[in-house]
Amino acid sequence: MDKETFLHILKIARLRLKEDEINDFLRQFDEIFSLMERVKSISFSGEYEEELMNPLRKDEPQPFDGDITLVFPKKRDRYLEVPKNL
Amino acid sequence: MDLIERMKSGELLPSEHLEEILETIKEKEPILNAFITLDEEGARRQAKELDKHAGKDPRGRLFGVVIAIKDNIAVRGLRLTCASKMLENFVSPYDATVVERLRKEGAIIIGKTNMDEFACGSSGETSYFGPTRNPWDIQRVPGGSSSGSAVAVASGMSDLALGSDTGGSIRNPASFTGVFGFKPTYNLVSRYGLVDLAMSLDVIGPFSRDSEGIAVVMDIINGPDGRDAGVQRRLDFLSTYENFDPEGVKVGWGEGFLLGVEEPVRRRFERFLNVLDSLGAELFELKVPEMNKVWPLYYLIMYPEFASAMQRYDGLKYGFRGSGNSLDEVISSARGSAFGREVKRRIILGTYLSMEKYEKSFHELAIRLRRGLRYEVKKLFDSVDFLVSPTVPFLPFKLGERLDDPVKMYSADALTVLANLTGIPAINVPFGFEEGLPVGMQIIGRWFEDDRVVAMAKHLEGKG
Repeated sequence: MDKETFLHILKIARLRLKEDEINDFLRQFDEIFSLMERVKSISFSGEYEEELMNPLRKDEPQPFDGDITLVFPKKRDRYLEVPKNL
Repeated sequence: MDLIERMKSGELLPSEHLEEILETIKEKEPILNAFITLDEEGARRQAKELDKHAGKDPRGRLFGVVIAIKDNIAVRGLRLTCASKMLENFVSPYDATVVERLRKEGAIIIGKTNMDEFACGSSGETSYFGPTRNPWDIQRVPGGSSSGSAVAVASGMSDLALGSDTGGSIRNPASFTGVFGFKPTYNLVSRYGLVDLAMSLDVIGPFSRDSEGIAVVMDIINGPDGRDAGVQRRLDFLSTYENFDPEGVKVGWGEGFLLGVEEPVRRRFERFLNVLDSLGAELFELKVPEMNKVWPLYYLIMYPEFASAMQRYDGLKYGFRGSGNSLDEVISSARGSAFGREVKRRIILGTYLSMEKYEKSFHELAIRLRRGLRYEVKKLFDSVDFLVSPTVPFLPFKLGERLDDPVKMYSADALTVLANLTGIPAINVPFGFEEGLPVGMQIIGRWFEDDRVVAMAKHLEGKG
């Protein structure tokens, strides 16, 4: 992985890294990719055909018996206060 | 289980038992660091409630039994940190299905256990809350990622524990700490309330010092709950556990499982085969997948699923709050500073592998090979009932030794990922010691024959 691709990935993965982390990661990735290359030498005699089954649920609302105020303890009138985005 | 009878009869009150455990915790926890959150107060309250029924009308199959829960499984009112700075202050609003079921059977939840951050690791060292130590040698790692759950059980700080296993995260620390650890068939146990690492691989499973504890917990937590639609079947672990006879069962093994396995572990494995033989099992040497080549496949599958699962953490509604002038900056700074190195490494690699440009070369191949592996395993199980191997190719290593060498760290999963990639059940059986350190052996079974795997393990208990 070259540095340009790496920096592009940081952007789409929304990660801001420190310079020393960037260098460490780039160094390690070569080794990790050569590990991944190993799988290219595998060959199996066939492929397992998945038996597909989709257990779907009825489209009906279910009650939530948890307590959401444990996550958002602040209240204003009848409303829960959540952080502003910006 | 004798313990439960004593508590039910009132001979030993649940509160008295709990206080003994709390004493052990007071003594050992400062060294071992197995817990992220201890809920002494809540546990005492639960025990007091049970005391009222002891000797009169005790209910529940785990009456008064103390259980610890890995900190990526939701327990209502307790923090759910996944050992990450990102979720340091996040409190769970509900109980996972597995937790709800254990409570109903009278289990006391003692707290949330330490782990590798977001279950990313095989040593218990990547936690934001500091590493967990191995009780057999505190200079060594306890394995991971369910490090605290394994250590809590191994050191008597809990009777039982729950962990999660994506590539070996239950069996690996069970092996390094000398306890039983079981990874069920995919879709046998509800994942409702489990924070996912890689959806197609994750399962919840138990730790116990004896095989009976595994059978009882599995009997309670397995089966449909209506909230995880994938779970459609239930198995009766207890009757199989009572009635299973190892005489004449067919057990397969092969060199492909032993490539790269270090000498002391190999020695133990030979002994394991001898004991199987003496139990009347028929042994077959088979041509099994060469795991030293196959195991990196796990990382190719897991990275992209992980990167995708982690997208939800942006620090906006909950979690670590970033700073900056745009939404992008706020999110990127939160993720950059609240995630540890291994988590970031996996997000980057997963993002890379799922990019359109590179997807063909690795990800597609990986998915095809995974189906190929399932096919191989299915064929093996046409001729044998179980497969066996060591659980980890080497003995517990020293803390810090592999932290900057991800490839060496990953190799700890070489023998465990097979069960996750194919979805089959596997158990770690503690099987004696080498160089003063515990060694574990693995029994692997067919899809949805989990009850037989646990019952087989019973016959190897204490034989190391």
